[in-house]
Amino acid sequence: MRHSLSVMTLFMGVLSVLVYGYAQHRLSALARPTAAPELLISLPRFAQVLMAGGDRHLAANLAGFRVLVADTGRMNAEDYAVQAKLQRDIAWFNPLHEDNYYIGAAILPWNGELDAAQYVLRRASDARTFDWYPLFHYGFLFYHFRKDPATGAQWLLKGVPRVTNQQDEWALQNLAAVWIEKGYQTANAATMVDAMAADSPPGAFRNYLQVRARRLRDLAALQDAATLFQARYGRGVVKLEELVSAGLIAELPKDPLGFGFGLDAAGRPILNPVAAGGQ
Amino acid sequence: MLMIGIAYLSGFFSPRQPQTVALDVGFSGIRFSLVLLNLFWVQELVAREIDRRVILFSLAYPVSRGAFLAGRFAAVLLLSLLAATVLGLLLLLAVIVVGGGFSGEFPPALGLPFWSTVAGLALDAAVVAAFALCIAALSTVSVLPLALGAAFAVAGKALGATIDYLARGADGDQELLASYSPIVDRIRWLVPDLSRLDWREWSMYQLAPGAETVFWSVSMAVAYIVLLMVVASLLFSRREFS
Repeated sequence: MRHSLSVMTLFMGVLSVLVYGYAQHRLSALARPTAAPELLISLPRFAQVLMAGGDRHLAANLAGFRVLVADTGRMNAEDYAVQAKLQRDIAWFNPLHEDNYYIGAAILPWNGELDAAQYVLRRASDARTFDWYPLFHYGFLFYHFRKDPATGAQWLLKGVPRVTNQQDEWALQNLAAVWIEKGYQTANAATMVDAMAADSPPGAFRNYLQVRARRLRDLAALQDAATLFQARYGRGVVKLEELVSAGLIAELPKDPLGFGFGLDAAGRPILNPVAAGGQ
Repeated sequence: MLMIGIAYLSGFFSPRQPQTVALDVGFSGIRFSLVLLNLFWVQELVAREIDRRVILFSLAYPVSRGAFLAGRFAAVLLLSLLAATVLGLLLLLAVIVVGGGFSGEFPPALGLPFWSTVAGLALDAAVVAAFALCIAALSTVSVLPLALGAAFAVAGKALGATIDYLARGADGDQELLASYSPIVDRIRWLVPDLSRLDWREWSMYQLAPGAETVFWSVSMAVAYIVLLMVVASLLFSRREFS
């Protein structure tokens, strides 16, 4: 009896090892349908708070880590929509979260999520009463994305009482004056994104901002060349290549993000939208 | 220790404010640890003693049952304060060494604001311990104080977020607002809003809570603890042990 039991146990052990091994083998051949997106889902706010033991600060940090580890190089429009939702949630859990507003300003508006960026920055501006940066970024959204320099300048000026040193105060007032006086200028936007990159710690995030700034500088150069072309030939460019053949630029700049440059209806060089082709 | 380790590592996830994020996660870890430790101690010092019938020997001493419970609660409180101090010191160390050379423009305040926050978290855990003690005084199932205490800790902490969400219009969801607002309005009188004892923004962003807020939050917590202890004493004094 005892002998048959031990044989039975041995048989069950061997059988389970075989079944386990075969199951693993079969599973490894099956593709995971959820592996592709960088940011797959965003849970309702209450579910996030409950999963963090009722602690909204912890919920904010957990969502923040998800945003931070996502690779922007592999993200598509759907991923950015989820990121926007997550960043809105973080702004609600903890509007004081510095990384959240900074990443929101640096990534969301450039990827078709302008409303979310405005929400995040507005919450941060109201909560971080000691910090003028959220107001600066909020103003920049109006300046660069809404093409409304006057409103952008008003938000910059609201940040002035929060500045703690004279130099920054003058810089902010000067910038507001330039925005009001000269209107929108691409080169100005490039300088500001460059400044954001310089203010970030070394790493992928800084590189991302530097690429954005380079793109804007290239666009500014194309726009300057298009203005010269208009003055020289009395008409706008029809194709960007005309700027090269006219000798105004040596070659067409290569877009580091791969979306390229185009022309609007008035013949002015623009960035091809990031969301084009769903990418 | 693990929680503090996680807090330290979490600082490396932050590009702009490594110390603040480490502090934030660390405070959450301290709260989580203190609540679990308090529940465990209540479980060991009261619920298990009843379960093993050792309580009969304890009650044979010439002290009232109320004094017995108060003594046990004081022991839990003392252990909790000791744990809070040790965890607080470890977190301070983790926050000081985290950052990798990059210091944000708004460094956290690690003096009085830090220790006030730790004290608030210890008080939060004490409320949970008092609740668990009250359950232990009447429960015949030994794991009930632990289970209900944990649920109470989550509910009390999430209550603030819920009230805030409903007060801001529940993202325009009128149906949700109409169904849940009356329920939450009643619950807030039964379950204390433990998020009011969380003053971490003082240490993280140097935004001190108002004196009135602190005073009424502490008053609420202490009064709730006393109330629970009175209820626990009444229930315990009438309980029969076979």
